[in-house]
Amino acid sequence: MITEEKKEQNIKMARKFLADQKLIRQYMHGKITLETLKEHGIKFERVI
Amino acid sequence: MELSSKGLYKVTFHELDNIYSFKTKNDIHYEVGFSSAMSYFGGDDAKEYLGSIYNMAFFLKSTQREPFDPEVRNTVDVILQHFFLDTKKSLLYVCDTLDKKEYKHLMKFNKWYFDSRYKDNVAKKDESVTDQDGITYYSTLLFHNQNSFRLQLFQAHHDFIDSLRNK
Repeated sequence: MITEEKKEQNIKMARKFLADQKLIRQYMHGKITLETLKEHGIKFERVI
Repeated sequence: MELSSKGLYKVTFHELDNIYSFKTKNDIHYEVGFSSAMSYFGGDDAKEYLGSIYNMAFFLKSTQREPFDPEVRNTVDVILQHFFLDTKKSLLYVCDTLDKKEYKHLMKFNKWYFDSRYKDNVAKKDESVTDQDGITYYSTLLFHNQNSFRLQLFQAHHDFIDSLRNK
């Protein structure tokens, strides 16, 4: 059973996710820089 | 770091930006970046019961359009094969809705997955939800078959996608 507090938190995270996706898309199209992405807390990582 | 395999494009890792890149025979330049998705799932503390979840961004850096080149997909395939060598890593994909072609993106993603070499070791779990504005979000979670967190991952993925309904 998911609590109301958890539900609110999930919605907040969903909004953040959508905003971040928009920023990544802007970066992909060269409209913003990697620095701007970093300022919004989005950092690419070494995974391999 | 470089990844190379016969017939595939050489992938180079750029330490400064943490981005993987490769160039095709047509001189088209692609980049692949992985960003942590843990902040959407309770932060790094959740790694204890979810492992590490990432988003992958794959983008064309060149201005010209690429003629169809199957080696592009095969090269991304190899990157993902290496990504999933760590069985506790998983990949969250949500189809872009901004261009209103989300279903088309889903079909393309599915084709890439079913044609991939990593699919024998990596499973996918699909979720979708339609919000109050009628926008449908299609999402896929890719995870290694041996990922011991998969049951928790299913629930977290479901809750996350469900929250897009009321965002």
